[in-house]
Amino acid sequence: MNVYGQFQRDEKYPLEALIWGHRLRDNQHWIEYLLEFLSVLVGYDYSFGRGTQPHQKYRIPKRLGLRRFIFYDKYEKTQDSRDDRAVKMLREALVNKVEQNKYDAEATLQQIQVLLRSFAVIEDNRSWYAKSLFPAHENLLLWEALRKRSTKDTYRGPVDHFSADDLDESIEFNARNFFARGGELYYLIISAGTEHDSERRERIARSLWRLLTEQNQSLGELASLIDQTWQEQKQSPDNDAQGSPGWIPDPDCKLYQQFAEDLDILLDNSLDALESLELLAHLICFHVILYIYHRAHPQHDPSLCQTGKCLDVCRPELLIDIPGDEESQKVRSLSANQLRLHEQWQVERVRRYIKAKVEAIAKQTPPDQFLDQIRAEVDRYLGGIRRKGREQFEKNMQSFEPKVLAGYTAHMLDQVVESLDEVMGRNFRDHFVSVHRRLGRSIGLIAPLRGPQPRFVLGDNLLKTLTMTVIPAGKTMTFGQFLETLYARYGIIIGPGEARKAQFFKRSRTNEGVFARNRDRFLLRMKLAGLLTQYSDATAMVHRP
Amino acid sequence: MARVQNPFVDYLNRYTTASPNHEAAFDEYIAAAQPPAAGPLRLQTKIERFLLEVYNKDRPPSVILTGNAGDGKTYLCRQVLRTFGSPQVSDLLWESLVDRPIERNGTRLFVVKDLSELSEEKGKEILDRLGEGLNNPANPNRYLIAANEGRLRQLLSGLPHRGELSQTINHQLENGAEITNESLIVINLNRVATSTFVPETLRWMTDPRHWHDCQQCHARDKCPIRYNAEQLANNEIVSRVQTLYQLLEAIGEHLTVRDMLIHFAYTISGGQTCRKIQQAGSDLSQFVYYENIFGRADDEGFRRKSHLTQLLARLQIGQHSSFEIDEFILSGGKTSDETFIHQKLFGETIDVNFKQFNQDRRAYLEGSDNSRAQDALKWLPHCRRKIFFTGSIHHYYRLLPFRFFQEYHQLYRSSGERIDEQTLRLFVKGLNRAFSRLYLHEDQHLYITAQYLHSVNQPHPLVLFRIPIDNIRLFFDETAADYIDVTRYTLCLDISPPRTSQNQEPLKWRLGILQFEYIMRLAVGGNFAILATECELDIRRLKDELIKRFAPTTLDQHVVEFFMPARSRYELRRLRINEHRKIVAE
Repeated sequence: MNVYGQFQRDEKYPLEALIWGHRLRDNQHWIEYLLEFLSVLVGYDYSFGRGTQPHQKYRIPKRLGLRRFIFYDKYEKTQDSRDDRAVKMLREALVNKVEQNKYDAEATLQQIQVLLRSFAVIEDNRSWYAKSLFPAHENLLLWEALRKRSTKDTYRGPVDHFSADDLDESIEFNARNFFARGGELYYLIISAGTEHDSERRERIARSLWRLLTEQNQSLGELASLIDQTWQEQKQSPDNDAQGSPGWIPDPDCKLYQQFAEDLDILLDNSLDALESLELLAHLICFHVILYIYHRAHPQHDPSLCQTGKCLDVCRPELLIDIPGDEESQKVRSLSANQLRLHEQWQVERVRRYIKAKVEAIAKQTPPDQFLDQIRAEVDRYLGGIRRKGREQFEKNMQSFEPKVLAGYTAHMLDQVVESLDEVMGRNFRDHFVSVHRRLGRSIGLIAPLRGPQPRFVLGDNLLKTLTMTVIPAGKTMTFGQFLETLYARYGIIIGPGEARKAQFFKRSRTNEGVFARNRDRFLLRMKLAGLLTQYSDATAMVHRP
Repeated sequence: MARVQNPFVDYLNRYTTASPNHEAAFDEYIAAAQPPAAGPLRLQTKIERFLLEVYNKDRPPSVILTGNAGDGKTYLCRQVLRTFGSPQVSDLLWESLVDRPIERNGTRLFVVKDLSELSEEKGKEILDRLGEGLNNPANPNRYLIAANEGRLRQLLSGLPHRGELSQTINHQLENGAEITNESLIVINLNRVATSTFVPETLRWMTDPRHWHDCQQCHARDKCPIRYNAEQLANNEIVSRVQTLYQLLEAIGEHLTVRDMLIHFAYTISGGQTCRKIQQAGSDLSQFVYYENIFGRADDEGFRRKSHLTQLLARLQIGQHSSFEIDEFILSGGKTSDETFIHQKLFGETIDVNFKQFNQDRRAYLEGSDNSRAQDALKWLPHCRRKIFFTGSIHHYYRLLPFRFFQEYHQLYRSSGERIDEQTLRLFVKGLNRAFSRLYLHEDQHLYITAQYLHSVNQPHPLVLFRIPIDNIRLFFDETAADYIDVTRYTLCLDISPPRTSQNQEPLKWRLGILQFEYIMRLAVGGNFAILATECELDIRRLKDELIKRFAPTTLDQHVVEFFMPARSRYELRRLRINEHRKIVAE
């Protein structure tokens, strides 16, 4: 299999990884894709293309002093006497770092804490070591950490004699519950997409470097000072933690190049850093969703990716519902169908994969060894399958014995496939298939957040993001051209023109009028968002905000 | 007395109702039709004078005229052709002028009276030819092109190799025509303030020669059309009408000459004809000019067609109660002066259905007849509107939906003098709130802030930089021009760069009345949602422009300034890391 990244030969990758790379998982918050991506990039010194060799690890600054200072307080979910003491030590040391003047040092420290915490981007009800800050500066990037066994046990030992080094002991950085490798995956995608375009690679890296270091330097300074103060309490300063990336399939896929192009154009803007990063977060998640749909497409095949035809053939069909009154219900239900379809594609993709495997085995193995081979295959993928599932699987296998010996039939093979799907596809169903919905809702591609009939929409931020990837700085294009480009690049369908290209009128009994009104509402949306100017003769030109 | 038909009423109605295209308001129609009693309307406009001067030169430049339908592009092209000695212009001639120029003194003039009428290919070809001639002064070809801005921009976006042409067109559209440019002048007729022509137009429409025939009509005394023509000759009323137009322009709307002609024709006639009036029943008060001007509820058709009327209707003048005014209307006046004025205003005229209004009013005051009392209240919106145009006791702006119109007007009247300090501070406070989206109380500095909007905790906006109030001026700038009738004065914000900025050029920003209102309302505690649709984007662009121009180039990376919620308000805080790596709160 053709991969980009670090593929471990002896690791048991689940099914969905073999299709979509290692890995994407549903408990990664949408902002964490951005955070993880930037952390990996910074960890590789703002270079893309690293991480393909086993020794190439990215460094992860621990920043435990900073994190405790900001997040560990009396409301903390996982109280630990070690952290209590660590915070106390740090604050005492910090008081000495505050200039004595008419302002109370404690109050000043309090201000700093509140200021930094105002950039918190995920608190939820997580423990302090799993909370994150918006990366207004490189020094605010916090990698997911975990105090071993903290949720199970409460530390009861004495702490008064502990040194700072002791207090940080047992905190590790490879839990990957929240930083579940989605950002890594994106790093690999952009690396693969710029493998043959070093100029673009340079530009992107440089833009990101500027975003993270040129503005908000004072905030970065503050954060750095706090963390350094903690380092000073230790005998030997922290070594950075390290990580190595996963992998992605089909490195030559043209989709990766398209993503790199989008990123390049988006980053060429004159917005302030905070806004720019926010749009970037939207783009990353949008790309991830497109990536999932691309590889789930019924006609997707690695050989297509080699030739570059995959962009045309495997284009998704994102029919966007632009809300209005009256009869927009029609578009809404069509759009809801499309969302279900794109999920169904994923399910069927997994099934196709299993089926191909089963058929391959059937071809190469005589019937009497068939089931053993199947069992071996399952073992290869899932070492520690749960007992109950395993039992059921064994039962099924045994019931197949007599049928298999009688000879291969399509029906029997199907049953085997089904049984395998149940066992091997469990992780897929539990943790992968909801990724696109979760991300979609977060970035404004899918609505409603909770409620009936989820369908594709375009939130204002996402709309702004896509306008800035489609239209380079200083350029404009007509509204019609804009719609065409949205379709060509992303499979977005809003008006009748694109609906026709995607053959919607053949498949569903709708008329052009419904799509025409959808498009009209979209035009008004864009106008209100400051992305489109309509002149007195009704010519509409799209431009950046 | 005989039944009379005033032909001028028909003439007016051709503007408004007869044909769906308002053919009377089209230049082509006027040029061919029979002129009315006082002659056809010939507005004296600066732009016409300018163009004729330009084309009288030996080597005139090329000219592009952009504007909406009804701004006078075709009319101006026709006038230019006259100076080139062209005969009566026909459709055929227009078509041929695109490719076969008219010549004079070695200049070959191609005329395109509507770029949108040409196919996309042909349009691009013309612009291409124009672009080629730009760099080649020896080229005798000149172009006079009338276009809609949208179409022009669309065609230009398809001619990437004509960068210079695009640039100069863009520049002139954004910053005003370069009237001394010898190769190409681009004039945007959208900038014309049609309000300038209101008095001249009304004077022509109410010219006694047009209404002479009415003397013989037996319905003369009950005719609202004649009444309207009479009233609209009154200078005070004309001035008020002009103020309304200026108000719309200050809101940022562009009104075309055609819009105005259609609108005034309807204001006078109300869509009625002589015959209809003669045969009509009793109460014709609804056809008075101050009802027609906003569009009448019973004539939805006209409202739909006239954009200008819709805009005026949005102001909802007369629809909202103002206690003092309502009391005056119903009570008849408290003092003898007031009573006198009331009697003059609400006498026995057509627009109050002669005695009807006062009878209803008295019934209301006496508390006698219940249904009549209700009728009295129904007169209120109508009477308020009359007061708007002719009242002398109450300021007309009490009837406008603006809270800060008086301050706006004050600024206007004191243009050139120093602005009232209090108003400026209020404005700065409002601008601070608009930029930061927080109810700050700062009014000594303008703060340019940034914040992460989706923080799960309360945002603490970071101050990128600040501008002292001394650097800020708010005033009505003179924006008059010689070559075009534009608004004489425009509200301007002039901001000089702070010390930390490299760039020394001040920023000049034009504001409309809506933006002023939006900001002032925020300053006194108003809601961010009011006027947000109209103004939020503009304010954001102002902020972006300030950041682009004035952001400190040498960032002091050791200072962070931010707003922090403290007790009941947001307070400014400052933290610095000094040379000894110590944190200093300031």
